[in-house]
Amino acid sequence: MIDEREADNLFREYRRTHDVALRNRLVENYLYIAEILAKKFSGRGVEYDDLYQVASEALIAGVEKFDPDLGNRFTTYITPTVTGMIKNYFRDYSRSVRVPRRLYSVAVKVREATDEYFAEFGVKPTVKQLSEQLKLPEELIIEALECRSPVSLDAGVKTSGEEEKESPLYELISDNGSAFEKFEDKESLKAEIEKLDPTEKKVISLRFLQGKSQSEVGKILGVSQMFVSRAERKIVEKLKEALL
Amino acid sequence: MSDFCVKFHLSDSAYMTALRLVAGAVCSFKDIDVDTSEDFKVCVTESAIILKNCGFDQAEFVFSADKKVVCRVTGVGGSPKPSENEFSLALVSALVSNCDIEQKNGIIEQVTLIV
Repeated sequence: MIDEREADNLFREYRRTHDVALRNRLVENYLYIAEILAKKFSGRGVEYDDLYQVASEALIAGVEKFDPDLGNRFTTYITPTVTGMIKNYFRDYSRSVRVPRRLYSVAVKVREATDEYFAEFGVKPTVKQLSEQLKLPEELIIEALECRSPVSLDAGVKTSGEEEKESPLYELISDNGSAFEKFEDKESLKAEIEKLDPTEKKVISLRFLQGKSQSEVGKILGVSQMFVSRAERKIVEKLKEALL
Repeated sequence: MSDFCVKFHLSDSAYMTALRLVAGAVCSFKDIDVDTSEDFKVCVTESAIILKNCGFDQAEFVFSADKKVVCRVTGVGGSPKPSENEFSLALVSALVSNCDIEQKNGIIEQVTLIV
């Protein structure tokens, strides 16, 4: 281990010379930080080796940029940097449809702003209202709204285990029971379902009684999964409105 | 706003996202809320699927936004044939405020969506 004062001198020397051997010596000295942080985030669906690699890359980038004369200790500087990179990796890895990170961040803000607007005014906002509230261009809001489109349950998702394989998304989602079981008054629900039109009843039957995925229902009825998702949401909203 | 036209081969599903972006932008132009806009986007792409099921190999989408937002979807080319779309049409009708279906010899040739 290099002591703090010597490390600072090496950082200064590296900033002056850009000597790769010097950089590598510093990286090796602080590699334990990458190891600790990778271990901290392991066991959450991403292999430790992958996390260690991400953390190591962040460490190298950190060593290359660190300036000891700005008053920070390297460990104080590098820990949030490496943690941030690992979190970004999780964010990218856990999405079945990859979208640019910046767009994804905007999508999250749009979703939050939409919910807040609805809570305050009881109606959903327009793109212009979201644009004014978030101080972002309307084009970006329109694009970000696409990030929240439903993903097919049949879409392949990479999973890590002894060997990497691809599984359909529906296999990875635990079954917490039908949402309809949560209704206390089953008789009222039954009566409301009877009032639905035949096509809506068919969706309910296939989805909640026969337990088919949205994608399977789409195939049976000759429509897309996204369409089934939308229809299902509408039917559930209709039932909720009738029962509450 | 002048009519805005999009035309593509239905076999290339990658264009569906671009189509959704166009539909969303037109709704935004008329200050339609994001929820109604999402319903409209779903119906526009679903209309494309209906025409694909009917055997058309291309679809032309003409958007206009005067008093209301309108999308006229017309099938082009291919070997059109009658197809079972009852469920799809019922749901499209439920999601937009007005829906007009044009059929010829049992084949759906045009879907007009209005919000």
